[in-house]
Amino acid sequence: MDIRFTEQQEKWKREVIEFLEKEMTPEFLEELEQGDHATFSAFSLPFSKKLAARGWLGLAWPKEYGGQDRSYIDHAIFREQMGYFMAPTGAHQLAVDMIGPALIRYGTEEQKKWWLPRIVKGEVTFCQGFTEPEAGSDLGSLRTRAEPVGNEYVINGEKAFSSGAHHSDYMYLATRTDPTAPKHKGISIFLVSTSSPGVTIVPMRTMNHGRVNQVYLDNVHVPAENMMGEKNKGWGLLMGALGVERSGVEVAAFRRRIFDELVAYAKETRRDGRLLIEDPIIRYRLAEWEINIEVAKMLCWRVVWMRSKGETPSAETTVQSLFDRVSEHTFFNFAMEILGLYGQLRRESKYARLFGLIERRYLKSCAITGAGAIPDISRTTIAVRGLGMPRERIAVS
Amino acid sequence: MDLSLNENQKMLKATARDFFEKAYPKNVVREMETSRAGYSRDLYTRMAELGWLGMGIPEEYGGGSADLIDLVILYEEIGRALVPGPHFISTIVCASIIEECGTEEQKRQLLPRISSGESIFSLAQYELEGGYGARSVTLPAIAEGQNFVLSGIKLFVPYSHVADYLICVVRTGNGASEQDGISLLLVDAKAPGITHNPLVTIAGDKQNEVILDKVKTPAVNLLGPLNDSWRHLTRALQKSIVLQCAEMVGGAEKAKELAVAYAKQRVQFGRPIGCFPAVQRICADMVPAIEGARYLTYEAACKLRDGEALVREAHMAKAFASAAYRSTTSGAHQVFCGVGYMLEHELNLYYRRAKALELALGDVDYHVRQVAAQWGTAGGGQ
Repeated sequence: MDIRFTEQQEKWKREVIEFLEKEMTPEFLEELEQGDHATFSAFSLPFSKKLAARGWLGLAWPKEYGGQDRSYIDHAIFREQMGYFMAPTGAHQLAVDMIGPALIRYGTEEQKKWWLPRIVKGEVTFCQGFTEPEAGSDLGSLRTRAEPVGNEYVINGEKAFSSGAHHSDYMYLATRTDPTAPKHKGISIFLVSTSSPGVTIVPMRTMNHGRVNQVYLDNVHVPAENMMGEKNKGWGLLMGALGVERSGVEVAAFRRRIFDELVAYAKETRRDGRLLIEDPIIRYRLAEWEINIEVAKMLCWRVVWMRSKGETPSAETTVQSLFDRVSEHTFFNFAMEILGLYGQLRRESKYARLFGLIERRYLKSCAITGAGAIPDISRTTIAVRGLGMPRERIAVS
Repeated sequence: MDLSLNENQKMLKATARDFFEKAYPKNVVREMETSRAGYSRDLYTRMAELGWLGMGIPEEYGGGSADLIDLVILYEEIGRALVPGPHFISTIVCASIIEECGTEEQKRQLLPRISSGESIFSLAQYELEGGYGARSVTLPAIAEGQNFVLSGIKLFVPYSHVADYLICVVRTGNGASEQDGISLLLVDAKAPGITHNPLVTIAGDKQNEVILDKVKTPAVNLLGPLNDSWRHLTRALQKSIVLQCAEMVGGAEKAKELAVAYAKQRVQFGRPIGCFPAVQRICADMVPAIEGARYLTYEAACKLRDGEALVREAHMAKAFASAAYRSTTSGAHQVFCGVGYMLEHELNLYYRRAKALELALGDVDYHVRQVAAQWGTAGGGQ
């Protein structure tokens, strides 16, 4: 057992830090915070292109597809620093983490040749089109239909809560292609241009001064070659895709960054005649959070380590994300309390601290708990897959 | 970055699990709780024969020079089996202190006796005030000719009634800080003037009130520098703290397994209770708690092993693992309901042990404050 990085890994970490120190200036962070997505989920195509120029978008991809075939650990080192520096990933993360790997695994040769080079160069952006008004956690009940007409499919339906649809070129869209099949067996995936006639993108404003989108698909024609994987086998892609969502290192590192900012704030801020850092209660609570953050980091690195050994984590990933998610709200509430009265100030205020990002993340924290998988669904996954407890029998209509 | 166990460690884990399961079935654990000695001399000797008492002690002093991670593995199993006795206080806590502070002569004399199980050592640190810090050390040791003379009361002294030697944390002076003036003295546990009175404790582990009435110990029994040994004690205890975390992780893991197995088998309302989300939730929440404690413990152990002297992660791990063991066992009680509350059920052994281990070597509050100590102490009420 050894928790240290090798010399090469340390060198790589320094290289990433050097780049990010140069790029992630306070001015740039402030600019990002004006956008629709807070902190590291911010959308900056120019920044993503800078990563692309270094070959860093394809870090984990095989060389034959323009990737660097770097180890999981190298990749995690990169992501951890990206999270710590709050570097924007909105313009590339979905493509790099989900769509590219799905294409590599399920795509035709033509699809690979067309899409993959464009993704690693940061030339094409994607949004996700899974969730619908009536299909959230129960994704299998999605209703958007795709019907074959000649060499094309015609798509009709409605997607909800799609982040970034308004600045993405394509949507990674889950549709129903066999309405007669059982609900998980008639689903197919398409890459659909968001500028196709019939696509209407309507903003849904979020509580944290951002937006996601409602996307209406009204007789949208899509070439058949834009179908990803086999017809009616899309469920496997969706599940596989959700499974590779994250090891979480960047999220844990982001929280560490916020924590470090809070400590710095407490060291320079006087309230009621003394520095915050001298207040025993504040010190105690900071220490408690540091423990929590360290645990989160180790649970993430365990997932990375398993992958680096060629193992496929299953419940371990859920354990890590559950740990993060259940504390998201309480952590940002704590951050708000450290800022005191200033915590309530939005980014527009000249008195706002840290570009108002704590206020934004505090507002977002209740959505973090809901995005991906709500904690009780994670708990069921851990109980059933991790602990082998019996599955609850749900009456399926 | 590699969190795996090597082949030897896997083997140690399997051997230890097998040995402890056979040597310490729960009826034996219960007997030790009520017996006066609180351990079995015979089983203690067998642990010595297996090389487990001196595992972490350097080879030149009769030990096994094992990697700290090996000890972590051993202590996870000890925690799982609830192995009672003075193994921890003697071979981990006291051996570390002697290794840290002892002269070459003292190490050569004392450490082989610890690893062979021939002698048992204990640490007499806490006093009536019940604090973990230097300020709570008040018991005076007065220099008189070639001796120190100790008078006062030490409390919560583990297994001192079966010990041959005590390492007494004493005050030999006062200085600018509360840490100035603290010394460590080796005292014959059966010296004239010493009385050991057993304390009846929540987990049935043996702790004593030790009354010292003008107890003499030769000045050569000083361990470490006069008046300046608090920092040595602190450093020496880091390893012990980490291993106690491992013990808690092992116990929590077993309590989780008991609860999960019961939830799968116990039928109510026509189905196993393990399919009810409320029960799944209780069990699922044990996993991040235990795994978090485990990997934080591993992190602290690796850092100590790799040469860092003071590892903040050790304090983090003790605070987190204490809470994890407690929440896991109390969660398990919810799964078992009345059955687990019955004395004959083994769960209560874990629940009680969780609290005892939480209190030993610093409670949650103490360790959280140690984490906060990185921000200085000015006005911080440390």
